[in-house]
Amino acid sequence: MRDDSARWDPPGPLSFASDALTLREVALPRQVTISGIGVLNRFADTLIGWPDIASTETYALSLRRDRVLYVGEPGLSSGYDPESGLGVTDMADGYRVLDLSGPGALEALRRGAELSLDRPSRSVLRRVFGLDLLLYRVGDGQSFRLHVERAFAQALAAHLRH
Amino acid sequence: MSGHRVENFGLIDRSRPLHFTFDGRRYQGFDGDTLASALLANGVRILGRSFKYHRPRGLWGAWSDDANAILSVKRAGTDLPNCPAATTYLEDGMVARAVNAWPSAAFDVKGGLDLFQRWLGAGFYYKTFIWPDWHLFEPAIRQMAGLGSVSESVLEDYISDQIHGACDVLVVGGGAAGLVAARAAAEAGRDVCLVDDQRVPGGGIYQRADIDGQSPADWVRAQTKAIEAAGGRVLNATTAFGVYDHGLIGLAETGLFGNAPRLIRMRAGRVILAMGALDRPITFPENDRPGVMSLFGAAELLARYGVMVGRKLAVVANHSLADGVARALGEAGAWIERIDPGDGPIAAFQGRRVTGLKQGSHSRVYDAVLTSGGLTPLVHLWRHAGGKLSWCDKRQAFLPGEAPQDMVAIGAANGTFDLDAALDEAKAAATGAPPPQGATTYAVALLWPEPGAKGRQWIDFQNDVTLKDIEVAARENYVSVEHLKRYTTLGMASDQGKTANMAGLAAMAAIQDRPLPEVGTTTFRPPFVPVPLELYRGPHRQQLWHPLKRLPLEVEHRGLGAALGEYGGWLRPAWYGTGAADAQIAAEVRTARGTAGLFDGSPLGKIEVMGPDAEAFLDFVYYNTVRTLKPGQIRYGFMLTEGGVVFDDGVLARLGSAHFLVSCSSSHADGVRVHLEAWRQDGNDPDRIFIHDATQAWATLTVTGPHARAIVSAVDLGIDFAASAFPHMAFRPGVWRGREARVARVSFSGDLSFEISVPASLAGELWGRLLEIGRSHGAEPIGLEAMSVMRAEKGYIIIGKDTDGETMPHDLGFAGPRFKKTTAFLGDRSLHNAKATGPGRKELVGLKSTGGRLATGAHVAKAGASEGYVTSSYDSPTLGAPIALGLVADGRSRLGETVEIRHLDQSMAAELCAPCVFDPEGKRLHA
Amino acid sequence: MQIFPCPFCGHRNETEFHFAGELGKVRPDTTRKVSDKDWASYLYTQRNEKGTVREVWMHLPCAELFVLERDSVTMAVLGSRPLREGQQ
Repeated sequence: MRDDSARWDPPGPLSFASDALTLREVALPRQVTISGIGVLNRFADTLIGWPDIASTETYALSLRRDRVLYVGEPGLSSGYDPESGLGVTDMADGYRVLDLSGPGALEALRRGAELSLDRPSRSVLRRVFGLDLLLYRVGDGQSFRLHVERAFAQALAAHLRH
Repeated sequence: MSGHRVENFGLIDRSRPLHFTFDGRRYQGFDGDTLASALLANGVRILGRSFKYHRPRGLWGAWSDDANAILSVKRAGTDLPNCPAATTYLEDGMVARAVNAWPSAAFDVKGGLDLFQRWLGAGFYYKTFIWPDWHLFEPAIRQMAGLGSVSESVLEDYISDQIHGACDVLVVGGGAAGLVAARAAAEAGRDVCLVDDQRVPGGGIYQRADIDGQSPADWVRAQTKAIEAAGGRVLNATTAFGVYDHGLIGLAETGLFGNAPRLIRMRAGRVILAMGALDRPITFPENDRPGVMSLFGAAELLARYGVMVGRKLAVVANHSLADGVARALGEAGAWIERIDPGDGPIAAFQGRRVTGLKQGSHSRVYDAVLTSGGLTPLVHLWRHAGGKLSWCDKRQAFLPGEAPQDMVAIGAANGTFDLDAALDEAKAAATGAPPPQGATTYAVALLWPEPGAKGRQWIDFQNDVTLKDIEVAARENYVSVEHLKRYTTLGMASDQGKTANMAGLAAMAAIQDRPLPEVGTTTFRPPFVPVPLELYRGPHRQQLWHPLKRLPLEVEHRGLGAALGEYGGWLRPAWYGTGAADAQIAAEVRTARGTAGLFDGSPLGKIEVMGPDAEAFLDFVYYNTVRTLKPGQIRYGFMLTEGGVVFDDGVLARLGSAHFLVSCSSSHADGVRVHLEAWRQDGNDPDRIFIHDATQAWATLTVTGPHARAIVSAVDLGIDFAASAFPHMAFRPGVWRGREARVARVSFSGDLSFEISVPASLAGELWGRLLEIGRSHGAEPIGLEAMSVMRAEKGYIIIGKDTDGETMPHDLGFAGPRFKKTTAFLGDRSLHNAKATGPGRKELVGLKSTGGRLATGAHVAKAGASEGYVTSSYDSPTLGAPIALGLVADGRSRLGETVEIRHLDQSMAAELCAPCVFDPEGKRLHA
Repeated sequence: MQIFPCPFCGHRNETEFHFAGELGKVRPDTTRKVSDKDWASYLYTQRNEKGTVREVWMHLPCAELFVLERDSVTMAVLGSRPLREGQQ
């Protein structure tokens, strides 16, 4: 039983900018986990894996063979729908979303993971710095978007700022 | 030794002089020097003392094969021990000291230790463990032995950067063969990375006058330019220190002094090893005298640093490559005498400033004696990768044999010492073509240590292992090379036997009259050269070593003066306020019991299980029956391992017919998620069950205490909180700020409690509202510690604290499903084996002490043996008495019995009682 | 550090994976009588073979449970497939 408050930096802003690297928090008001048979086909139009570039307003992040994280309003209510066979959970508050850009962006990520644009993956899920992230590209393809579990957002930002 | 600079030689920049000191004396070197080359250029002859006998040591080799010159170096406030002089580049202002020598390397007061060498021979430590007593010697030996000492100051900025890299072809070693291989591979379109451990690549090529009609320096530059022009990378000052699984090579990139090396985890499709070969010492009496050094080392000092190690040199060598090296040294101005060790035994002797050599009646004084007993290919990385070695009689060396996957050795590392042949091999390796077969011109005469010879013949210079020590080890039956190594410390110096091992193995082979390859080699392990531990740590330090999960409301808690602590991987409020912890916690308990406590329970697991088979699936993973749970109801239950042991406890809410919420332990959500996923996919139909972990999407705020209903009713959640409408163990959906809220009436405190979960981003507003309303009722925030006290008053367990690796549900008083549940469930069969049903099971009980608070972990003792222990112990502010929980053998049938509690040397008495000591009828719970 | 192939995500670093057990363990039907011996064997008997082994691993980020065939001596990965038949 010990007061460790001083050993841990209080939460602060996640964003920062340097010559090589910019980290900016992004607000994505709707993020919905959708599981079910054939869910990847259902969202095939906007399905994003690695190293795909998300260039539309709404898109579906491929997580597993039966799961996506839909960014945007999917028009489905939470819970299990026996008709469609889909399980739906609102996850907007579960992640904080960060855009990493600048000439050093890929190298910054390589500090935390064995990562290559030449090695594609059907899933955007990946362990970086020991943290489970959703990682894909946005914009001109030089920027990366990261969804991190809310409780680890500070640790991720600290790793990237390092 | 009279080392000095020679004009027109070396790669150093003579326009940039650098100043430094060694053992207090001032010297000058040049940019491009190592500490070793600069010291030799200044005529310094003794650079260190040996580890055990404090024998004076001069430089042996010019690069990483030197284990003699180890220095402590200080510069600009950075103080680093154990810097190898031969691989530490000189910088202006360095303050260097010899290690293990005082006051200086040249005059060491402990040099007298050498007189005791008779008693400090092989196996000294092991023998004194047996007789008379190691502890008699230990303090003195610890004082005298060892190398540098760690600096007092902490190097705050000594942080190793770590990065992952990848390439098609990694070429290790930037000598001629490596450069040619890298260039050919790059020009063939491969993604190539060449690493070389020196700042200027080229290996030993600078010892030659020219190559391909160019100066070596021009030629090397042309190669590196061509590699880079073809898209390849050239990493200088980068050591490949280890080969790991699946083509992973550890690279350590060194920068300026005082900076931690950078770790590159390089994943290579193919590895071309071109690390070269090392010069081998010759074993003869007094061969450790300063001034006796490697022939190739001397040549390298001249070629790279323009340092001639002496004016009058003896060259003692047994192979065909020595002639050219000796000639080059002669052409650079040295007086050379060739001595053929085959003409008769030689022995060194030493005067104050010179080194002498005797052979038969011939005796002469030299500045330095340059020896070369043949070349040893560097096969370290080859062995790390699992490659085999094969003995070559012609070269008297172990060469790379059967290759590991995706690796090839070329050039001197492959025993190909002829340059043209090495370059042909390099070109073939670059494209994966079969290696050209050619005869070697290299010829070496047999020259291994001769057992039984007179005089002290050094095998391992740093660790003071002599030929006699190896003979002693053989006599005492430490004949396996791995035993030999540990018994004598042969090859355990900081160079890990790069110079010593071959002679040591050959000596053992000769002593036992076995062929050398039969004796074998010790295991080659990473790292190839010493690397600081910091290399492996990198950014995983302090707050990033094991980052804690942070609450959505951490800022609010800090604002309320919370003391934060780690609980199950989360940083959570332990208590609030700045007073003494015990008093604060007691006050929080009294507030919560008196009016209400406001508690942040956000880390509670919130795993949604959905789908047509969700009910059957949960019925299988839970000990308790799930199918009887109706929507809107909550049930407390256990998850067991297949071994029947309690894995997790928590509540399960049914939100709909095919929708459940698993509220597992706060510390356990990640583990439970993986546990559920594994069983979902193995043995169930994963198309009919979906598991979403939404733990971090929600914040959970708990209001507990007699005023809880009044407080939550005042928050506009759209829920009827009346006791009749919202009974204990019920679940109700609500609305908070336009979004879903989930309220569970469950209790960990034993008082009326509501757990309100809202989207994490809306938690701050709810917390503010609860504080405002709560305080008007006299409620206050409470931390984890107060909650822990209250749950212990009720006899509620914390998994892993009040249970151990053998606890089954019936040990906790939950025996029903074990007999009544008819469907299969995880761990079911294990609850009926002999151990589970037998006597003596450790069962959960309360412990009533009469003599004050018991120590957590104290044993319940009977006749000197333990029959259980205290798992939780507090001073209960509610009861005004100490309370405790424990696991005690057959405890549930022994209530009322007084037992002895032993903690360290203290004994106390306690009475076994029911775990719940507060409101056992549950009136407050159901209020 | 090894590289394992998740059937869904592709090649990933071994730090993303968790060993789940040897392939071929079948849970006895515990609604019928199961002898101590059979249950103990299910819980504790491991083949622990030298050479080619077939194991069940989980790729933690995507939670896929799959069959990994590898060589326990050379550490070579020989192949992987989803635990469920018929998946790609």
